[in-house]
Amino acid sequence: MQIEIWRKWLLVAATVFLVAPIAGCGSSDGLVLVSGTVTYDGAPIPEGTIQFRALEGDQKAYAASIVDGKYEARVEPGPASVEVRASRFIEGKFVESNPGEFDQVGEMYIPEKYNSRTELKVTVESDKLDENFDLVSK
Amino acid sequence: MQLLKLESESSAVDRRGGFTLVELLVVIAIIGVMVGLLLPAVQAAREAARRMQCSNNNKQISLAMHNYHDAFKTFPYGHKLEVAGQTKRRDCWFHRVLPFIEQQSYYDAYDQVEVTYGQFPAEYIHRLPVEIAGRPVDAFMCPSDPSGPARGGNGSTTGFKGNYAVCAGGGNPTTAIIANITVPINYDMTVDAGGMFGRQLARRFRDCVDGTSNTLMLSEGMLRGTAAAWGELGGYWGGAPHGSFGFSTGETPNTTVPDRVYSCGSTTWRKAPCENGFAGGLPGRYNFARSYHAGGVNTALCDGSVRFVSDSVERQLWRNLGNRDEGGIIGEF
Repeated sequence: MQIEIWRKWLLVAATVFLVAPIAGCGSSDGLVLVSGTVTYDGAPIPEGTIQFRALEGDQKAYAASIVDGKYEARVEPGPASVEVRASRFIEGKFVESNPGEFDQVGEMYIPEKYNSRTELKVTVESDKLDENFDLVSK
Repeated sequence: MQLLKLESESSAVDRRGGFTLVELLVVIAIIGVMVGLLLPAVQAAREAARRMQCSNNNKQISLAMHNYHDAFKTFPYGHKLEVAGQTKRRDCWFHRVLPFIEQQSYYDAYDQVEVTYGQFPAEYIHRLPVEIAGRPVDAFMCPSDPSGPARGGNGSTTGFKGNYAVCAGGGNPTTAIIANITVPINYDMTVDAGGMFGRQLARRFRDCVDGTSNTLMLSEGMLRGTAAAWGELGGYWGGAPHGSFGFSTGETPNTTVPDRVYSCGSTTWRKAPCENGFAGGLPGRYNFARSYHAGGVNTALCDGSVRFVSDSVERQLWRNLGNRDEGGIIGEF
C-alpha cells in the first residue's frame, strides 16, 4: 500500500521535472524576421546597411547589413520607415585627417530620399516577411 | 528487554522491503534533470562575477570623477580641443582621471614625457612610446570582454583601448524624434550633444540640471579586437576626437544600429556592427553602449551610483538619461 503511494508520487514528480524545462523554452523578444533584396538602379547593392525605425511607440531602430543585395533583419512588428545606406571610394581623393596618414575619401551614393529624408515605408507583419526594395537614382 | 528490542528492529527491516528498479531509474532521472538545470547556472555564476567586477570598475571611475571634481571644481573634458603645435594633442578624460584612480605615477610618466617617436615629435599622444601609451589599466577593462587587453583605435596598435566611455548625450528628443537622432561627436563638433561630456566641455555639477541621479556619466562598449582603426569606443590614445571618448544614448544599449566612427576595427564583429564614417562618406560620429553581459550594460550615473540598464529600456527614457537638462521625466529603468 505504502509503496503504491510512493510510486504515484514519483511518477508525478518525474513528469513535473521533465516537462517544466521544456515549457519554459521559446524566444519572447517580440521581433520578427524580415528579409529580401535591395537593388540600386537595377543592380544589387554589394555592401551597405538597411535600417528600420518603428513609426509608433518607442521609435526604436533595427539595422542589418546588406551583402550582395541581400539582407536579413530582426524587426519590431508595425509600421516602420526604412533607410538604406551604401558607400564607395572617390577615385584619387585623399585627405590627411590624422598626421602622416592619407586616407581615401568615400561617398555615400544612395540618394537622401532613401536615408536621411527617407520616403520608404513598410508595415512589418507579425510573421516572416519578404520585402524587396528597388531604389532608383532619379 | 534487550532481546525484545532487537526482534522488533529486525522485523521492521523486513517489512520495509526495497525499491524496484523502475523507481530507482526514475529517481536517477530526476537527479539527472536537476543536475542538468544546475550546471548551466554554475557557469552563469562566473559571468555574474565578471559583471559584478565590471560594475565595480564603473563605480571606481565614477568616484575618481567625483574626486577630480573636488580637486578642480569641474569634471574633466571629454577630450581636448586640438590646436596645432600643442603638446599632448588629443588628450582625453582617461588621462585626466588617472591620478584619481591610484595611477599617479603612471600619470606623472605621461605628463613628463618629452621624447620623439620616429621622425615625429610627441605632439600627438598616439606617437608616445609603447611603454607609455600601451600600458593596460585594469580598472578600464571589462573582464567579460574577450578582446581585453586590446590596443588600437589610434591609427596603430600601440595605444591601450579600454571598455569605458563617458556619456556625450542623446540629442534633442523634441526636434528629432524619428530620424537623425544620433548626434555627431566628431572632429568638427560645434553642437552640444546634450550630455555631460564633449570637446573641451568642462562641466560642473551645477550643469547637471536634471539632477545627478537622472543623468548618465559612464557606460561600457564592446572592443572589436586589437585593430589600428580610429575612433572606436575606448581608444583613449588618439582616437578621442574621432569618437573614442564617448557614447551616444541615441539608440538603446546593444542596438543593431551600427556605431559610426572615423574608421572601424571590424565591420563584421558579432553583435557590435560598425560603419566607416570617413571611408563611407557618412556624417556624424557616435558609439553606442554595448557589452558582453547578458541583456544589458553597466552604467554609472553622475551621482556615482552604478546601474545595470536593460537592452529593452525605453528609448526615450534612455535618451533623457543621457541628456543633462532636457527636463524629461525619468521613469523606472
